[in-house]
Amino acid sequence: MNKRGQEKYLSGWNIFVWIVVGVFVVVAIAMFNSAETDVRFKEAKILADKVVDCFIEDGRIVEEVLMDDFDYFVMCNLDDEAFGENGDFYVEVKINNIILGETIKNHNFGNGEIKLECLQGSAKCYRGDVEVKGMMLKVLTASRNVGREVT
Amino acid sequence: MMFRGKRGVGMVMGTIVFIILNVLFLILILFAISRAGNVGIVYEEAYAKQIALMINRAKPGTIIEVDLAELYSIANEGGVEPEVFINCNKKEVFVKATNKGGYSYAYNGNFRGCNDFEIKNRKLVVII
Repeated sequence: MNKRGQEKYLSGWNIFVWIVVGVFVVVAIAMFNSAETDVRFKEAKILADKVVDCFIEDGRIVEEVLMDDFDYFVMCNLDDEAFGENGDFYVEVKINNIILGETIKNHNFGNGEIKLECLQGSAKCYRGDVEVKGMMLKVLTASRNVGREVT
Repeated sequence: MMFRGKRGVGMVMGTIVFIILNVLFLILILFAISRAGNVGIVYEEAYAKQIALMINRAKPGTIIEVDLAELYSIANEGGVEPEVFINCNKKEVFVKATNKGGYSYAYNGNFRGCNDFEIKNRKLVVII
């Protein structure tokens, strides 16, 4: 009777130890894997900073920005191929006149579909407003750039 | 006698099942740990993304220096010669620190000088 009791007792403990060890391992792996490696939002923020940097100079909007033939890629030091229709990036800049309350220029380039993907979570968007001498720059940038493991 | 025999077989079967379950559990744990413990893959991803973001942010004329010492030590622990390469045709940064294949991450900055990068004393130097 005692032996049978011991066997029962031990197998119960055995299962308990399995569960405890299993839970610790799962928790440790989950903590390891949850480390922040998604940089899409930071990428979108860098893109926005870069665009704002080239749209504004000495505290005012660069005049060329208001022209139709403004070359974003040369002026903002961006790679035009990365902003193709099937690319992973999108930039939208609205220049509003605060006093008149109207949009005086609207720039957008890159893959416009990515903007919609921000709602689904497959892309990350950054939105920011910059006020410059009566003008408001409304910037939206998006990235869906995910790296790939090369096999 | 028959009753005793059945009990004996039952005990042996119970012990075998117990051992098999224990071995299975240990294999599962070891598999999970070995997968999670491969830090080389994490380093590949982290370095590829860092370098790509630096290229994105840099202005023309900037010289970027990235210390690769940690990547080298991780790769050497696994007996692998690390690789860091900027593929300006594909617009990707490629990093390899394991014997699996490596990790690629695309950049959007205007880096056109395919030869304007080198590894010197375990440091990546990129001229934008």
